[in-house]
Amino acid sequence: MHKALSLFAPGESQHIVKTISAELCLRCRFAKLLCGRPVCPILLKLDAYNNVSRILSKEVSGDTPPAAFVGTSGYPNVSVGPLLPPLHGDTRIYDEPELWYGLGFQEIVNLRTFMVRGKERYNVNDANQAKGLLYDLQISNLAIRPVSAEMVFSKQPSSTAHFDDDSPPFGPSAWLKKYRLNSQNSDRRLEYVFYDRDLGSTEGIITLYTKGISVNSIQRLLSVGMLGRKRRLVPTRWSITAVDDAISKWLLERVKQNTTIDDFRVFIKDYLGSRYVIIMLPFQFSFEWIEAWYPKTTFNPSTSEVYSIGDFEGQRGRKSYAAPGGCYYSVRLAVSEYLDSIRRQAAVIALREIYPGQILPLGVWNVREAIRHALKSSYKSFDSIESSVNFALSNLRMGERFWRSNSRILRQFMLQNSLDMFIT
Amino acid sequence: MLEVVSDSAEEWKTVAQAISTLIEEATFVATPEGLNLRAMDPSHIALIDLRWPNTAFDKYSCDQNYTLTVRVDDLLKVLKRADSKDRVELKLNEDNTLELTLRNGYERNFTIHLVEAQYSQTPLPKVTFNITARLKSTIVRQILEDIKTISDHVAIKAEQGKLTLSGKSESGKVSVVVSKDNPELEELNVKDPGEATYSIDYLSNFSKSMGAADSLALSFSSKMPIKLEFPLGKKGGNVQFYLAPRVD
Repeated sequence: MHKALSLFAPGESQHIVKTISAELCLRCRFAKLLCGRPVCPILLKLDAYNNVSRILSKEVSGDTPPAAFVGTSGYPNVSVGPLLPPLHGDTRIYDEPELWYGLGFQEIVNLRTFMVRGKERYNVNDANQAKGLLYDLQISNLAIRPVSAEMVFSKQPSSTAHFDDDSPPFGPSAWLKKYRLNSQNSDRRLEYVFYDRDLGSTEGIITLYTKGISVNSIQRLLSVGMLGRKRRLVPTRWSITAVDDAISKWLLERVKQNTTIDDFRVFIKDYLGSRYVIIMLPFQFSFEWIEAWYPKTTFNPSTSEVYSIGDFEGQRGRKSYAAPGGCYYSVRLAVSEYLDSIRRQAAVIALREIYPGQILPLGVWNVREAIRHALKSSYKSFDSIESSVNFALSNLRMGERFWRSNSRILRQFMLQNSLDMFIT
Repeated sequence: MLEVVSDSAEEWKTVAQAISTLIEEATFVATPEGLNLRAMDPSHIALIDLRWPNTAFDKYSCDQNYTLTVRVDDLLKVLKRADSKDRVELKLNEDNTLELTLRNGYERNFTIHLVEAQYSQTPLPKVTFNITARLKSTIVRQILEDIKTISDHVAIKAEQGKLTLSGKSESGKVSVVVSKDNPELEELNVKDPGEATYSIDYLSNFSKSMGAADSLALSFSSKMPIKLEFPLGKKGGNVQFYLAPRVD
């Protein structure tokens, strides 16, 4: 029997996770508590691990990047609030995953847990005519640069950290008594969408994206209820997937009109304890994403086997929610951005192996950025499906048999002839 | 000017159903001789070829060649509202819309927008078929369902006097023999015995779209594409379906 998470002290707590199957954890990822326990045992330990003694007071002042968080618990009455690190200056990096690529686990966790989160409870529909803190929060999210702010809490924030598969980690939080905001310069592109109450939320998302606003900022605006006709708070983890989904769908409509690439391409990238291999085939667009979790990784702590989960879509797209969850949509976004930028289409198989070094979930941004960077780096070009797939799979530890049998798109293209062979 | 009238919606339903298994947008080519459609699915694995001569319609007037591209979903949705006995009138409007009128006691008038598309004629695969057979369509559907329980592909083997359809996967194997004594096998000609494997999803989707046709002609050769063919109504219409083989 493998020891559970490497964070556990020897002999301690192993019984908590032993009876939970990796498959269950893989499906749940803290979100649904499928194991039936009131608190996720894995998270519990992570919290304790992160409970570093810190000096936290009932008042904090600093520059919010700007950042905000909307929780899921109690939905539709959710906790909402700003985040800020207790320092002044250019704090943008604290809430911009696009700037994090290249940082290690510890640096990212340190960045995130350095921010203090104030919260207040709102009904999701309150965002439609925001008042009080919610109004201030919306306004601060229009800022072009960090905004200096002050938070006064009713109690001293507890020094804990929260980890989630979809959203980036979060540090200590406390209920807000007061939120004071200094003056700011607003971004015109954001104002344009925020003040247009006739613009649907999808149109709003696309408008911001085409004007060069980062995916993270768009997601933040959606989550604090600043987009759409009838405005609503959207829990952060849902808003991330909603934005990835909306943008990639929009890009793919264009991509599917393009001609296919002319060669077989393989991209490889290692990041944060994972290897990513992306295979592009010169066929009509289809997309598959598969993750293989090694034992002793975040979502497969308790078995000695590798578990994989994946999903795919064809030319017609998909209607149901993808099995691997939010990361599927993040990868699809990175892939559609690439295909759109080269004005081509392709059948894309994106594979990820998560090795035992992966101990904490950091949010889907790390998958999105890893794939974005993989596709920006050079690739190896081949002239046949066989040679490209052989090369790709030889760069993965799980071996050919595993990946060939797990990938639907590979099976389809490796085993199926095309009619073109018979039309000459 | 293009105006086409059929006295039963049945055939239109079959046509829309059959195309929808392969493509999202369909380009019909209307000539004074009749209505045709030929298209490959996006992955270039299967092809559908529809020939619908003017004699198959109650009324067919077409003064020149037209290409009409429709979203198959749009067409399918309208035709779903038609009863098999409804009379279907189709008219190409000058504003690039297609008017579909369903008549049966009361009259329903639908207008759907055509899609702009570039059309180029797809050539047919060049295959010499060594094996041809005719089977009852119900038995074809049954056999494919049988094999689907185990496998996502079907191997078809033809010998003198019998056809063997089989499938296998990690979970097991299945085989079905249809011999000449079997009344469901109406015809079998084997010039050269052979075997080839095909994706079952394509075959079963297509065989389910056959509508009222009660028999199906099947032609193939070793490791070559298979052709399925069924009549569309009783007045000369015809639907052919080509499917590329799987790699052995």
